[in-house]
Amino acid sequence: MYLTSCRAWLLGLIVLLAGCATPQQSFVNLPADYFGSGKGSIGVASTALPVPDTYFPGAHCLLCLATASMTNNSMTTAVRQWPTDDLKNLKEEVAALLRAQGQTVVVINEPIKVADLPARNAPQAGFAPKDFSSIKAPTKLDRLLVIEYRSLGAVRNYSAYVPTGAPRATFEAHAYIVDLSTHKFELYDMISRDSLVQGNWDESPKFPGLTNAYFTAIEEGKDAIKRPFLK
Amino acid sequence: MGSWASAQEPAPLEVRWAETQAVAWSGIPSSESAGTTASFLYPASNAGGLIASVLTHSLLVSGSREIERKARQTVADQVLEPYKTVIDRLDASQLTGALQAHWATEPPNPGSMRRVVHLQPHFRVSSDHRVIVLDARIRVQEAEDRMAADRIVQVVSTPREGEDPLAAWLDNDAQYFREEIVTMLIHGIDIALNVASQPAIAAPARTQRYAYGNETRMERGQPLAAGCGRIVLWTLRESWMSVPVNPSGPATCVNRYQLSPP
Repeated sequence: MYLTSCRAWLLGLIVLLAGCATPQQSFVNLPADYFGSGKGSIGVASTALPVPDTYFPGAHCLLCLATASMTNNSMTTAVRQWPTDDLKNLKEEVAALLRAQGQTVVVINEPIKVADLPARNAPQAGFAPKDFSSIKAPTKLDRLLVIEYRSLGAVRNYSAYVPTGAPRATFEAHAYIVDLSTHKFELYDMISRDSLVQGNWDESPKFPGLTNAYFTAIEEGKDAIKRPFLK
Repeated sequence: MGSWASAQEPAPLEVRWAETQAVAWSGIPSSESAGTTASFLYPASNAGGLIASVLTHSLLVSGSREIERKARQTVADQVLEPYKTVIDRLDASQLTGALQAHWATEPPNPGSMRRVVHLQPHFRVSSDHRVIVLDARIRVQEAEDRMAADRIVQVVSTPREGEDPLAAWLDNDAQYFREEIVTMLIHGIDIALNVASQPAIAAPARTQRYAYGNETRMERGQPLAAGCGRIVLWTLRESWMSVPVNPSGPATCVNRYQLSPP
């Protein structure tokens, strides 16, 4: 029993150290002369659009989370019906900006599954932890711009069982350009946009104020993704 | 009250005000905060104690949020202090006189039907004095027992530019401020009379950007009418909202509240 306990502690320590050893990616800005330096073709791809959902940070315990889910049931029902149509053309909009900068651009229509890509050996900060070779080979692209959607929907903060404020709409994505030969990040941007409701939020069943905040968060998120490519 | 029967000449437009506080005023507070996340340990030895603790926690949090909301509104209302003298003079009778004087030269009431407009306006002023927002419940009565329209109309003013918007508003016995208030009211009534009477247009909804003082804000809605520097949206709250936009083309707008004929 003593040996079993030691093994459990050792395993936990290994997991903890492995997590600490994974390099944390920080922002990487495009160099000022990026579009004048003749870097070859660039693909524009994205992960699949997430289904909008509700999130309750602070409702840490299972019963807290169940209570929060139950008391916000009508809001969750409305949030899950929010459309994501405004994001469907984002790749084309980004591609147009890149073409205006003189780039040769290919839009990859199918969503890519970054999580399913194989991991690269010995990941370093500033380099993609995933191996994008399977995308480079068939497309012959030199670089890949990826819009990786993280979360979409509404967030309401909780202190255990009790909401501490009004819900707000949220949009989170990472946008990066990876050199497909070296896997170095030429751009890494982490976009997080929260939009507060103007006026009353609690307007069941459609929650129009919160819905308006959602569309605002999407527009602000799109602006942030496109900003590095504006002339 | 007068006859509802049609007349040869365009019938007058009668204005009536809400019985209590005909014209309301307030400041625009900052948005309610989203609150924080925090772990909380409930001192309870049984289920009943846990429920009591949770209820107490809930009351404390909601109570503090209500206090915070009232405090924000109290602070926001201080923006009205410089305008107090002007606001006291802008009562229902003054505004009715200004409306009728405008309509004497630009009749608002196409056709020969007599109409009564019931107004319940609420003007809100932003803390930087650059934006005035009119929220008005406007009901258009066409007969003794028929309301042609009963909606909320929101009008966001054209942004007040310059380094000192307060001084600009109050200059010359607050002439610009009084004119802006009357113009916004005329515009709101114009929307209720003309845009409201049009059938719902199946224009796709879009997220419209508009100027809000020095900021850019957004509103999701179906565009229903437009002018040189303005768009009227049918919002998600099923109300009309008139917002200022940059005029298309290089020309400046003579009247940024003028809507183009449909």
